[in-house]
Amino acid sequence: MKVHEVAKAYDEIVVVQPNERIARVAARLTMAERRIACVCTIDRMLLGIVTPHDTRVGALSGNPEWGEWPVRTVMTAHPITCGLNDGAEQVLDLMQRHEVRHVPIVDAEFLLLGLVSLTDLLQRTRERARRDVDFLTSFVFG
Amino acid sequence: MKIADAVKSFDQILVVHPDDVLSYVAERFRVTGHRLACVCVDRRLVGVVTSADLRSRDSDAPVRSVMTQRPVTCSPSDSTEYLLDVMEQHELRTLPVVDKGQLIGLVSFADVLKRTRAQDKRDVEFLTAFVFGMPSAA
Repeated sequence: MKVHEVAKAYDEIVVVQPNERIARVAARLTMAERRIACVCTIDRMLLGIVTPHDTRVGALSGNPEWGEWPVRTVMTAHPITCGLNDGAEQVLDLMQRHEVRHVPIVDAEFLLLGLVSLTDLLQRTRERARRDVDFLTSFVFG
Repeated sequence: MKIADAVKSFDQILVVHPDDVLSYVAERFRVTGHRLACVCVDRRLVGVVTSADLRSRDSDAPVRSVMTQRPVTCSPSDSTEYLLDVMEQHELRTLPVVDKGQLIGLVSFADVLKRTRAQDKRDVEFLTAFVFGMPSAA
């Protein structure tokens, strides 16, 4: 199984620009299906990722203006990424090794194509395992 | 699958007292390579502290002044699926495991995911070996 079979496409995920205000990004993430935003240039080049936890770092600073800060100040730069045709098991290995739940999908120029999440990958691999078990069970017991 | 067999036990983790000073905790982080310590009185968990919590803080301050109180915890009887949900909801990579009010260890995201995947593959591999006499290529 390839990553593109379970990935969310570019227009299904939260994409923000590096100068967007933290408060606005935090508000968008509260309504998002996957609580992660990809930070990209206007021409889609991936710069980093932001989670709700990152947006709360400013609040802990005690500075009342933190919500006005640009999101690039709290993003994780150079995130782990994968390619559209990488295998599901390969990306699960990446998630396990780097302890991440979401992996942005990029092309060779680092342009963002989509996002793959652990929940979606596990759900699909589990469905496949269940199908295999059903097939093998019927093979054994008729 | 329960998480009991994925738990790093009490003697494998970093445990500090709430009155320990931050310079001592920072040194323990440096020596052990851990990034999270459980703050305990005897074996009762009162908080957790990460290496990030120590940044720009007075090195003579007690750890109780920077620790996260009432951290999210789990029980050894919780399932791996439940833990993945809790870790996602709270954006955590490590959870203290508490049983009958006592800290028994830590469980990491990587270990939980590893066991979840192993569990998913086990039945298929068993049946494949039973039918074809070889493990699944998937």
